[in-house]
Amino acid sequence: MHFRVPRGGPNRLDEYGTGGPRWSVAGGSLSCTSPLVQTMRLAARIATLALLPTVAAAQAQSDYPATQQGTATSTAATPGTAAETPDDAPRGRLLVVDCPPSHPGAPGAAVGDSATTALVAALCARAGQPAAASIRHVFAPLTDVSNTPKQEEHDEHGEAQAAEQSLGPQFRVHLFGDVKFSAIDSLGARNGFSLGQFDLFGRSQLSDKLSVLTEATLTALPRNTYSARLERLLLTYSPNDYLIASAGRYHSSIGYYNTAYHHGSWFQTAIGRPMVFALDGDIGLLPAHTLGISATGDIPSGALGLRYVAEGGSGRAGQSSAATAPQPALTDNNTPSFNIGVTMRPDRMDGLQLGATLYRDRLTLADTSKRAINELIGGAHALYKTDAVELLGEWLAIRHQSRGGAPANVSRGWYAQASRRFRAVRPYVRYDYVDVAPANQIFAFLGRRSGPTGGVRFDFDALAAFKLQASHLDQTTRSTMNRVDAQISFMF
Amino acid sequence: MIPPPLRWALGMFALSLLGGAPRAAYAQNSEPLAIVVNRNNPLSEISLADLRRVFRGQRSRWTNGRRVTLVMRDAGAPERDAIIRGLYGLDEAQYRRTFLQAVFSGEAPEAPKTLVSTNGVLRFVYNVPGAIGYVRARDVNASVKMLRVDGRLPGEPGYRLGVTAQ
Repeated sequence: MHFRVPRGGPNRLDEYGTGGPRWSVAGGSLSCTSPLVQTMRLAARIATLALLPTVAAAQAQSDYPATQQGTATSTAATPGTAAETPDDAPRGRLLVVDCPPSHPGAPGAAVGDSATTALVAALCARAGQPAAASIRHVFAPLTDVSNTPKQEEHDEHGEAQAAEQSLGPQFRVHLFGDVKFSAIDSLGARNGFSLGQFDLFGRSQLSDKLSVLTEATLTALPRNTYSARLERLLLTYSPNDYLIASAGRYHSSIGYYNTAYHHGSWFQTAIGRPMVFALDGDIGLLPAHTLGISATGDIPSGALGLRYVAEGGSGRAGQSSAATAPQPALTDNNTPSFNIGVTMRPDRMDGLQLGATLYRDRLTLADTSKRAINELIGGAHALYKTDAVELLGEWLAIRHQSRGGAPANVSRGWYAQASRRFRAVRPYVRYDYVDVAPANQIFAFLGRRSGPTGGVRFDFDALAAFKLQASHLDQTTRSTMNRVDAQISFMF
Repeated sequence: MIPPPLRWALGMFALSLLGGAPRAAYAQNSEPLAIVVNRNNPLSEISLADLRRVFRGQRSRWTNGRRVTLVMRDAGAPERDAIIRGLYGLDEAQYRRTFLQAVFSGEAPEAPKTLVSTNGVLRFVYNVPGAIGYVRARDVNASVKMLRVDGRLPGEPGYRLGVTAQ
């Protein structure tokens, strides 16, 4: 058994950071190398035996099982301290004797039995410290930690609990953007690059049943100006799968495309939306947004997979962004809009969805000399989407009837889109058709527009895609247009 | 008489089916994958169709009212690939896009939790009452509950979820 003091003498004992020197017992033996304590060897041999009951008592009080604590034994002294023990050497236990600082009033701790107290007092006296001291057990690193939770596992249940118990909601944000180059053969059109929409999407789970969804866009306009719009702001309460109730501004559940694809163009296979689903600020024929309340959920229907949606809002004008061009002719009224819909996703054919919606509103014209218009929009869709194949088809009819008794007029629109994925490349085609009745008091300027679009999408990264497409558009109210567009869209 | 544009779309549809779409199939030489839920979950059996809905985020609540919390393995794990193929019918890139879109449109409540080990999945499912995850059947222990899928347990004839043997 060797008593050692680290080289440099007693003063270097402070490097352990306790304010007082430490003495260690490695492998059940006290170690101290200073010549000053050589005379203590004999006493330490005796003290080793005296410390065994203390060590055993400490083991019994520890949270660690005895098998992880090592064993306190009175082994023969081995050269070197614990710090010098190689990593692959058998690990023993360290017993650290803390001699308290020498200033008055420093707290001391009872050491144990009288023999131990006497030994520690002697050791501390040799180190120039007061007699009161404490003994701590320092366990060597364990080679087997199979019973100890790993950090990853702490995270796994810690994360969930943290989310549940967090003081504030966690707001998750995704951003979308795109850059486009367009070459158009129309008279007056300019070729060149343009920024698409910068889309900020966020969602926060406020509690177990309450969440908030928000989406804001910055749209680049000519002359380096931007249009900022709050596209969606929706507070959702979802007590179960049969009722998910929301309030706020949302995308109207007319047809499929309007709610499946929002403002992030990265999600869309093609560069732009189908013509019939063009957004309000573009040449929007449909009320793409609604401000109001909505409810959706499952209909108990077994393998049919039916779902319903019911919406009530303030309609096209007023709070809806549809009040902007090209519908400046509309103004507020007190008649709410309603929309109902049913979709079916049968179990037997995974990827298939069928649906129908019916929307009703009353449009009040800004020209007060004209009577209001009853609007009825019916839509049906069928789609089949798998990993490789995408087939979309939607048909809509818009019926306007003046409350003054004039005959009703019906406008129609549809599109069919097909694509097939070959690894990261997805070629696609789409045919758009919109035919607005000449008698329509609001959208007649759109006339009939139709034409094919063909392109290819290349997902060169998991979150970024390059799209190249060519379009031909026949229009009754304008000249025929051909265009080629290239777009890089991404999310981050 | 079908209008020309519609004929064109139908033609594209026929073309798109050439070669056949990748379909989820249970490989013969595969190790069964167990669907595990928290022990307090009253469910003990689920149909494959319902399981698809759960993993696509189309089910947000269990029958006991607990919110469904999906647990996925990290990208590249064979178990994850098997689930993405078997339940979603997608590959990794398509899966990410599809789920992000579901969250974006509000259809799915939130993205799944991603854990990097089997032990992690088991511990998470053990700790979170509404959690559902998957591990190899041989790794299932008493801390979680294993669900029958279409009435079958892993290893039984007709069980359709498995990791292809490497």
